[in-house]
Order: sequence, then structure tokens, then C-alpha cells
Amino acid sequence: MPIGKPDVSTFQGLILALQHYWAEQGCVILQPYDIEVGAGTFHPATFLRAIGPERWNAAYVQPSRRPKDGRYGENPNRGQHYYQFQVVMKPNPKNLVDLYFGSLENLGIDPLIHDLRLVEDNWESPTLGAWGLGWEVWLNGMEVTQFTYFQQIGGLECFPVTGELTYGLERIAMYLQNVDSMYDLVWTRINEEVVTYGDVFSQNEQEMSAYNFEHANVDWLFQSFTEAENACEALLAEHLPLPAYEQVLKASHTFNLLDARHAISVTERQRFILKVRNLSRQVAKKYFEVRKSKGFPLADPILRDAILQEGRK
Amino acid sequence: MNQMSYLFELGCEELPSSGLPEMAAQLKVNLDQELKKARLGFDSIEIIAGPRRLGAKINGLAAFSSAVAIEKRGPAVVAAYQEGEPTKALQGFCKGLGIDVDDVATIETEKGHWVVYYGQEAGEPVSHLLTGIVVRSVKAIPLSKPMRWGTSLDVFPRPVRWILSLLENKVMPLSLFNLSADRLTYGHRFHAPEAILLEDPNHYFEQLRKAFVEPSFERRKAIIWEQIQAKSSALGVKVDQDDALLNEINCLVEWPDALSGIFDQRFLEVPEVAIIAAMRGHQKYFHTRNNDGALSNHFITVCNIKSKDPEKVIMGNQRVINARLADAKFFFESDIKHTLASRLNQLNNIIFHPKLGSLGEKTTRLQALMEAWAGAFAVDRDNAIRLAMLSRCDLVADMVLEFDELQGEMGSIYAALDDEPDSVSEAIRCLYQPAGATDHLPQSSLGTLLAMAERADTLAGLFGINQPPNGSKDPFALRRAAIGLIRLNNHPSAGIDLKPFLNKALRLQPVEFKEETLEQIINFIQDREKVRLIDIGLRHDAVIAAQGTAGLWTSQTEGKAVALNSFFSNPIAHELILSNKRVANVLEKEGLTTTSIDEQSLIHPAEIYLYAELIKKQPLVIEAVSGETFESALNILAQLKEPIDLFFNEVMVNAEDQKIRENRHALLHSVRDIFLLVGDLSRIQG
Repeated sequence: MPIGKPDVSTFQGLILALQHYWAEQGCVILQPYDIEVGAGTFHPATFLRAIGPERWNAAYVQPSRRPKDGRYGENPNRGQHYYQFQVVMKPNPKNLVDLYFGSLENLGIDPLIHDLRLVEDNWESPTLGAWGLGWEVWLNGMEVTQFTYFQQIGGLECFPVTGELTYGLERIAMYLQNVDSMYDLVWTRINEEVVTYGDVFSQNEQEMSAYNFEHANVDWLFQSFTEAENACEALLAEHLPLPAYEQVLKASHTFNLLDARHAISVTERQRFILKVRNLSRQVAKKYFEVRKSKGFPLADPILRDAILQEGRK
Repeated sequence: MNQMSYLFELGCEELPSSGLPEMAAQLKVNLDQELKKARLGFDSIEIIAGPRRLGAKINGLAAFSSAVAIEKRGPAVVAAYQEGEPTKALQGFCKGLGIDVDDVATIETEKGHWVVYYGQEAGEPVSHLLTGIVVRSVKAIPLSKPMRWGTSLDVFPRPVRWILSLLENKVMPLSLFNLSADRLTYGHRFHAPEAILLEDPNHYFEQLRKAFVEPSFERRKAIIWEQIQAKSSALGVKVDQDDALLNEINCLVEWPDALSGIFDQRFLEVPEVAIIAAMRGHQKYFHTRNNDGALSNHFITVCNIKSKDPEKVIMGNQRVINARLADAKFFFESDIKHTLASRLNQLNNIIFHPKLGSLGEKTTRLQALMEAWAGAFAVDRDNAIRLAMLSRCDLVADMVLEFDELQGEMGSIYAALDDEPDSVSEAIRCLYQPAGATDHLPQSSLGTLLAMAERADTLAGLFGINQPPNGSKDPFALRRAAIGLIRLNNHPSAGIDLKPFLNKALRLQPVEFKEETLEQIINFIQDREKVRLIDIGLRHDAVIAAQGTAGLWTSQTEGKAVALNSFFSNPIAHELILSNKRVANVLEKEGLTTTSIDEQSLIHPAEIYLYAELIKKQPLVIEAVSGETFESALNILAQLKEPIDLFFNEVMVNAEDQKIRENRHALLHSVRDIFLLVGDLSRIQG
């Protein structure tokens, strides 16, 4: 395989190909955030960067954890840990839809063979106080990507609008490799030897499912939640939105674990979600203020001046 | 006069299928109105609506708006002429209009003779008017979920990417969404991505069809349906009509191609509602049936390309549906390891409303309400109780957690598998019927009772904690519940007085009972009823009068209102209404001390006569009302006019003797009550 031409018939080749493609479209290629999150949207490169007038184009892989989805490695399509490939562009370019379909063609998906469709789907994250409108992208009837134009983040109106693409990597790979179980995916080929997704992750799924459902310490989780909540508020008071946001992420994941342990009743559930949302909103507001105090250095001058002017009125 | 064609198209990113049909319909209405308002003649409006475009072609458009006759009233003739010569007043009037004094005429009105000018306002060229017409028509489309994109402040359901606007062979300037109109459009996203240059509107449909786009919503829909039927007949299977699904599919494709696939035969063991839900809701597939009506494992999907390798598209779709059905099968098999009844306790963990308790508590209330009314509905008391208990148990079944649209349906299926009585398992799904204002109603008495108890409980609860709908906010869908209750009460087994029913429902709530809350609920229901009856053309006061009867017999209101409405043309109506007002006024003034009538104390011949007539008519009126022949009831009541009038003319109601006075009040009370069986005639205007 010549260097620079990733082999999309492997899982890692798929990631390399997407990174390569979006780098060429002018995206900053980032690495995963190093705290447990439920989706690529939680990465500060999406959540925080979608706030305010500054330009931002980035792409990255984000390992995502949904403790409740654990199936002890026995369900071929579902796991408590999986990968998303996330692209954010702000403001969304006019041809974002074309760029997206271009990325699929780059993976060898011929749109004159396969039925590609944009099917209405409106996205909302109750814990992030965020919502947007867009589509789920269908590839022969299978949802492979979530495509969203953010309208609100952390309770703030998005202006300019961020376009967000979230690729479900395992699903796309299963398609490209024509396998029915994600554990059978070829992660990579080294000479003649094949390393599968199962080789990399099956033990992890078994053990983490056991942890999520059976062993996670509920009392400690409740305590951690409260501590993260308190820490977040203290950090906000110090005008430190980035560390405060990390506490939101910790609270959010802790809540997900408690949910998997069935430790939260239906009424309580809503209360916990509201707590996290409230923190997200405060962080978003603080982040906006801090960026504003720095004069929105990454914004287009006209937009920046308009928004700074507005504030002075 | 020359006739022209005009075409405009908003090129969009894939518009939401939930809103497109309504947007297209609204655009047509708006254009029609705007064109008429501008007095621009046209033959027809062809709507263009698809995932990537919304627009219209206007055919036979007049080159000018039509001139309009105008009439301007001037001064009075006496002020306009002096000795046959025009006065300054008339000269001023003519100067203002830019006309000669000889151009005016005179008219005669009730108030004398006046100078008048009949003229014409000239038409305007179409090119001056169109831009405004289109902009206003587009902006007036109501958007349920508008969005912004990029750095634009404009909103639309999805980003707009180009505007086409052509009047004959010229670009008609149009600026919307930060875009300027041009003569370019685009074909199918993948089959024909290049720009298409249009000379004029007349070849638009043809050119787009060459570019793999069928722009006409209706024509595309017809093509899809034909393709689906062709596929199914080739397979020897049948498809059920499903206009909602067909519309949805139609909003997702520009160049439809129906393909058929099969799912694994073993999934046919899963209840068909679940299979259909998985295929229809998630994948937008048409399911098929064998000739014997049984579900077949062939499905039909409509894709948006003429694929170079359709087999690949089919394989992909089969894989998706097999995975989804595998989930459904897993849920079904794990669900039936438990009986439906065994899930009842889990409802205690699901909050209905923090102040109204859990779904378990709601279930207990339904049970009490249904038990109390089982007799009135002539249903078995034990079945009613069992039904209430099972009515929500499916909410904690895995299948319903995954496919929430199957609530009720799965309950009925699981109850049947548990060998619950047929009438009970059949009625579980009725809890959610009717879902909307035109949705179908339960057929059985038991199902009707369940559906009514559910709505009464929800109304009682939410009003009980003082959370009635507020403006557009109606999170518990109380308006729908009220309308549903009215419709349900028309079932032959129902037709009950809703007042005691709601009273009981309210007393079962975990809140303090207040008479005024009950009144609020009754008013709320009557308001919904009033809107509906006025909508179908009944007089406002006839509806109010029909609602003025004692209790809340909603199933009779329409009949009463119709009878009252037509009774107005009866010559006697007016006087009968006056008599009723007189009775009502007397009783209102005197307070409501009801005592029974003592025949011995009736002394005046006119009151004896009225009493005798009343006694005679009473059973006839009651019979007519219970047979719901309200018009004949009114005709019988009309015969009371004469004795009532006689009574008022000859009898002193407020006699000095207390006993006689009270007896006369009681007599008038009886008169009022008998009228109230049909309606409160005193509420009718004049």
C-alpha cells in the first residue's frame, strides 16, 4: 500500500481516509478528548467552539461511551464503547452537503450505485441545552451519519451556525467490509496477519459491561456527581470555563453510569438532566464572556466588530 | 391580451418531509390570494415540490393587472351647482381627481342627490407586480421548525441554495435569503449535478425530467404508487393503501425507483404490528401481504436513484431490516416471558405528574371510575376492572420501549396471549383512541368506557392542580382529550351525562375537590363543543341554548342545537322565547326556592290551566327528548305558549299569600325545567 493512500477496507484505514479528506477541506485535525464522553459533540472542540462568532473548522475521532448500551460483547451492533468521527465547520460552508457526500465517494461509496439520502432528523441534547436541525444520512436504508446545523448550544443562539457531521465509524466500516458483526471488522492487516475489532475490544466490552451494570459503586458515583457539580460552580466563579466544562463532562458520564446501574428513578432522572443542563448553560455563558474579553480573536473582523459593538450598547 | 408564463423555484437542501406537503399547499394558497389581490389574471398554478425544491409555475398570466372600476363620491348636488353652474366645491373635487366637471354624474340616495365620479384605475404591468407577489407568498408560508444557516439571519426549514425566477425569457429579479434569482436550476444530486440553463419557463418540467428530477409532487406520487403496485403484482403480493407513507416517501425522492427485498422468514413469528412498525416507521418500507391477507416477507422500498447495481441497494436494505427485526424478535420473546398483569407494579415507578402520582395511581383511579360506570355502559363489572388494570402495563414491555407507537397494540396482543377475556384484550388498544380529531373511535362499549375514563381522569387531574392549557401550551393535550371525550360520548353505549362522570373523576384525584374546578372542566369541554357546532353552521345562541340544559349531555347537544336552529323559522318561536325570558327573569329575581306544587293551592283558572297543560305535555316532551327527536319536543313545548301567556296576563305571580306565591313560583319552575330538557330558550337573542 503506497503511503498517503489509506486502505479503507480496514477500520484504521477508514479513519485515516476521513482525516486526510477533511484535512484537505481545511479542518484542524484534532485528537480525542481525554475524558469519558457520550458523543463527539461533547468534545470542547464542538460544544465550546460552536459558541460565539469565531471561525472554527475541525475534525477528530471521538471514542464515545454509553454505559447503558453495553451488551457484554454479545450484540453485533451495540456496545458501551464505540467511535464517532466528528467534523465541525463554522460558519458551515455553502457546500457542506457536497463536501460530505464527497467524503463518502472518497471512501469508495459510489452514489450512482448506492442509495444515499438525507432524511429529516432533528437533534437535541437535553444535558447540553443544545438543539439543531438536519438529517440522518441513509446509505441503502442504514443510518451512517448525523448531519446537524446547530441552532442553540448551552442555551445560546448559534451565530454563525456550526455545521456538524457525526459519522458512525463501526457502521460504515461494517458496510465497507461487508461483515455483520462489529467484532469481525478488520482493524488492520499487518503483512498477512489480521487484527480484528474483536481482538482490540471484546474483552473491554465484557469487562466494562460488568462494571457499568454490576460493579460501579453507586454511593461513590452519587458523591462524585455532587463533587463535580460543586467544582464546576467554583471554577465558573474563577472565570475558568474550560476546567469547569471538564466537570460538566464528568457529571454527565457519572449520571450515565448511575442510569446504567438503575440507581436513578424516573422522576430523579429528569432532575439530574436539568442539573447537568444548568451547568452546561453556565459554562457556555462563561466561555462566551471570556472569549469576548479576549476580543474574539478568531472571528471575521466585520462580525467581531458588530458583536462587540452590540455588547457596548 | 398576451398571456405569459412565470416560473420560480427555491433550490434547497433536503427539505423536511414532515413539512413539505403543507408548505407546498400553503404556497399555492398564498400565490392564488396575492395574484387575485393584485388583480392579475392567470389560468393555473402548478406547484413544484420535492426534497430539493419548492416553487410554482404560473400559466396564462395576464401581461397587465386588470383595470378596476372606481366610484368617488363628491359634494351634494345642491352644493355642487348654483343655477346650473359648477361651484368651487365641485371644481375642487374634479381637480383633485384630475377630471373635467363634465365627467361627473349624480346619484340619488336616501340622504339626497350627490355628485359622483365613475372611473377606472388602470392596470399595471405584470413585471412590476410579480416580485412582491412571490416574496410575500414565500414569507407567508408558516414554518413549524425554522432554522438559520451560515451567517444568514433568514430562516427556512433548511438552507436555500439557489433561486430561479423567469418571466417568459427574462429573469424576473427576486432577492430572498441573501440570494439573487437567476435562470439556473440543478437536476438530481447524483445523476445530474451540473447547472441547467433555462431559456424560459415552458420547458422546465421537460428539462428537469431529463436531469432525473420529477418536479411535480402529484405526478411523482402517482409514479411511486404505480411502481409499488407493479413490483407487488410481479411478486404476487398485495400492498395496503397508505397515503401518509406514500407522501413521506414522495418527500424523500426526486427520481423514485421502487425495489423489493425480503427479510428472514423466521421474523414472521413476531406480531405483524411490530414488523410493520419497524419497516414503516424506521425504514419507510411498504409491507406486503399474500393473497390470504397474511403478512409476507417481501417488502418494497423506494430509492432515489436509478442504481447501476440495484442488487447492492437491496442487499443493504435487507441487512438493515433483518437487524431491526432481530431486535424486535428479541424484545417479543423476552416480553412474553412475563404476563402483562405481572407488570402492573412497575407502573408505580413511572411518574404521570409529580402532583398526580404515578401511572400506577392513575390506573387505580381509572379502575374506580370504570367500576362505577360499568352499569351505565352495560358492561361486565369485573371485565371493566381488569381492563383498567391492564390498560397501561405494556408501557414497560421492551417492545413498546423500543417502538412507542405500539403502545396499546402490544398490550392487546400480550393480553390475548395471556388468555385474558377477549373483550378485555381487544379493548386495551382503545386507551389511545381517538388519537386525533378525525382518528377512529373504539367500537366496543368496554373500549369506549376505558377511553372516556382515561380522558376524564387526565382532565380532572390537570385542572385539579390548576394546570389548564395556556395559550399554545397544552403539554398534556387537554384540548384533544376534551374533543375526544365529546366524540367518545356519541358511542351508542355511552351518551351519558358527563357531569357526574367528571365529578367522580375529580373526587378520585389526590387533590382537594372544588366545585369550581368541575365547572371549569365543564366550561372547557363546552367551549370545544361550541367551536365545533358553530363551525358546522349553527347559530351561536342556538348552541348556547342547547348547552344551557342541566348536566353535560354532550351527545345530545348537536341534536338540540339543530332543532333550535331550525325552530327559529317557526312563527311562534319569537314569542315562546319571550315567554321563557319572562319566566327566567321572575325566577332569577325571586331566588330559587324550589318547592313542589300543591294542587290544592292553585286557585286561579289560568294557573290551573297552565298546570294541567304542563302535566299533559310533560311525558310527551320527556319521550321526545329520550328519543332524541328534539324538533318534535320543541313543537310540543310551543303549545305551552298560550297557557303561559294567559298565566302572565291574568295571574299576579307575587300574591300576598305566601303559600300561593310560593306555589306559583314552583309552577314557573316546572315550566322552566320542562323547557330546559331541550334548551335554555331564554339565552336566545330576540
